[in-house]
Amino acid sequence: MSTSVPSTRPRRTLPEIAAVSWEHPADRAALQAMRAIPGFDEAVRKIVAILGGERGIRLLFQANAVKAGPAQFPTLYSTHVEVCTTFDWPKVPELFVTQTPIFNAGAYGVDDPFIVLHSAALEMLDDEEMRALIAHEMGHVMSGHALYRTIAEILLLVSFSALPILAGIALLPIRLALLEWMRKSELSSDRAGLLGSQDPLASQRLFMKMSGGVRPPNVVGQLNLDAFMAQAQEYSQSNEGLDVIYKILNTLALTHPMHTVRAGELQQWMATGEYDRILRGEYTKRGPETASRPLRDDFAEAGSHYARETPGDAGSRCRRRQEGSEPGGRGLPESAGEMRVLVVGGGGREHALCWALRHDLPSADIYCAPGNPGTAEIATNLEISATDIDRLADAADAYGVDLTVIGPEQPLALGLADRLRAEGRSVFGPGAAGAAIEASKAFAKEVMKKAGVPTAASRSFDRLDEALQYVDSHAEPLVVKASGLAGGKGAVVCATRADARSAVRTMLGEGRFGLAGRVVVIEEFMEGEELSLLAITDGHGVELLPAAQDHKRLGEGDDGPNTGGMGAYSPVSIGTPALLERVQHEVLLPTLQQLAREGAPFSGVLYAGLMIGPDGSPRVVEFNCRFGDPEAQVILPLLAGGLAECMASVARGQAPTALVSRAWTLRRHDGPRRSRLPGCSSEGSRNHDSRIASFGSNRFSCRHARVMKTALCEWREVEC
Amino acid sequence: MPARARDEDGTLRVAGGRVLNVTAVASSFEEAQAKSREAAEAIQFDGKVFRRDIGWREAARLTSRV
Repeated sequence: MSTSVPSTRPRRTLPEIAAVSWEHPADRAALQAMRAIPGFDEAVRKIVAILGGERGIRLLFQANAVKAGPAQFPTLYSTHVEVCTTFDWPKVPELFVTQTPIFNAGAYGVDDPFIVLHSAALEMLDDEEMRALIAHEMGHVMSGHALYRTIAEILLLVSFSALPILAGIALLPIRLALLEWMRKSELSSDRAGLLGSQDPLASQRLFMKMSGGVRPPNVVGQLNLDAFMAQAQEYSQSNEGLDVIYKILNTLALTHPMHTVRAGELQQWMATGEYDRILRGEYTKRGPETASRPLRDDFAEAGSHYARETPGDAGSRCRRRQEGSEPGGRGLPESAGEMRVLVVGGGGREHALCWALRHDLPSADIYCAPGNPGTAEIATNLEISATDIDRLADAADAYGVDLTVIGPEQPLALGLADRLRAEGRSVFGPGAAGAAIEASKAFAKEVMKKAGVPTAASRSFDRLDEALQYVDSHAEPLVVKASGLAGGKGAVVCATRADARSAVRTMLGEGRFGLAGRVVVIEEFMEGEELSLLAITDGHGVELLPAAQDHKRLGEGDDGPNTGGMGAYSPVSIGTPALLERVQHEVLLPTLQQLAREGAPFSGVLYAGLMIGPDGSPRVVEFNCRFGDPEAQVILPLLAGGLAECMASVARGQAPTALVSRAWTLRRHDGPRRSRLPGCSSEGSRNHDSRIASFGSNRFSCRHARVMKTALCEWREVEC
Repeated sequence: MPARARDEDGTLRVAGGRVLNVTAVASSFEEAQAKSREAAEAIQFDGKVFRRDIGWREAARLTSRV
């Protein structure tokens, strides 16, 4: 820890608090699902036996560790004791520090759990962050996670062949369920981390540091050789083969959900008021009643956090069990005429969506919430805000909606898709975890880096001084972006370092963009022409839409301030079939695969905002997790059909079906050339082969409320 | 495609911000661009702001290929 000054901020103790007070419902439900897997109990018993019971497990995880106490790591130990006091936990678990550069920590054991911290954590965290980390691990201890986490480490990381004693048990489903539960269990313990530190900022900084970032000073002077030797002796008395420990400890991070997701989850939990209620003393106390707390509500509550998982995982099993239904939840009716569709949003994009869906589903009931006067002509508007998750879920229920299409990014980032899926509904759009590709630019950058997707060199910062330092040491021009959602206005192109410094100060120092600007991404400026390529995806396959180009600046010639978009056109001639093919393989597919690996599987529309360089190479400017507005207004009219079916297929968790595209050719003076859009079916090309189609859109903006004098129907009259 | 327009007694009122989109579909880029611009010019309300050059890069490309 970087300082040894104890915090003077008063912390509330939480007498006799029971872990159920904060446990995440998804955690409890996943644990229950895991225990229900045939062979699970047997596997647990056998693994504990292999390891030599409680004692063997302790040795395994302490093989290369120093035990904290008054003599070794005294500051750390006193923080640990304070956390136990905060939770009023009578038995202070043993705390070990193990030397490894990989940041992590864990709680292990059977009846007598103990905590292991990686030395990297000590180097990186300040006192309050460390308190949050220890409280997080105490959460695992208090929830009784330690045994299962121990089993998980062994089962997930040791090869099948190394476990011959388990040969008769089907381990794969157990492994998958364990992985699932491990990630969910972190969500519970993150809440414990917050309750133990009572410092929300420290909890968030913790997530950030877990994503990277090491800080001096190190822990020289904290070691006590005598104590360490005594411990080493204990280890040497064991003759178990314990060389798996490094493998285990070094790969722990695989079992954790994305840090950005966790930060978001924690923020949402605080927003429910639960955190404040607990601090006020309104919580469940330990006692016989908590031991037998029924799980009746957990499956329903858990859904929003399972919904983003793929069918066949533990979460889907929970849902199926809960509903007694078949895989896939409520399917679409056979006849399209009976179909009920809810489009969420109230912009021009949603009008375009309703229009395209109405084209495919002439007799369906289409609802739009909140909609606008345009959607009112082709759908039934519902007076519900696009971010009112509860009322939208109620409406989907009340109207028996078969397919929900979510237009804007805010409800996606708020987890509307998760919520509806949890209730067994087909939803087009990613869950909150997948939506982080747009909602956190820092996360998007990390995903791209790991997936090898071409993009601008960049770094993310949450500290002003470090961001300014980075600006000073990098070449002009630079781009400064608020990491969170900022309505398309969070990116500032800075010609000079002075401009970049001022942009950084506005976001990190003055808090412009609020939470969205608490983390900034600073990246190199990319030369070239922008191109938007959108694809409908189930997370595995992609169905490309025609490429578009939008105009963000208010003034003509792309001058003036950035707006949410002043107009767009599609198709774009630089979006050649060869380029689109390249983007599919170099950008879209690797990103989707990496998102799945991050525990944030994506389905819906993945929107790649690209910069096509002077050499014709695509690089990613940003990702969006939905249709663009105004891009949707020019892209969707290009489709001759297939949108509703494709969306419904993806919403069911199946591969996107083919979109029927109007064939198009750009007129060129060197003679007509035809090219088909990717995904263009033979039917589409037969009907439209000789047609040339192109689209333009203009958007109006207006500062004040005024009466509009002319009807809105022009666009329909000029449709071909 | 109205974006931020409100219906009061059958009259469309704009409520500030981006209020309306005009989409034109045509058999060539130039035609689509011209039609969407003409439609946009025909619509009248106080405080109207829109760009007449949507798609200018494409237009420049087409011209340069003469």
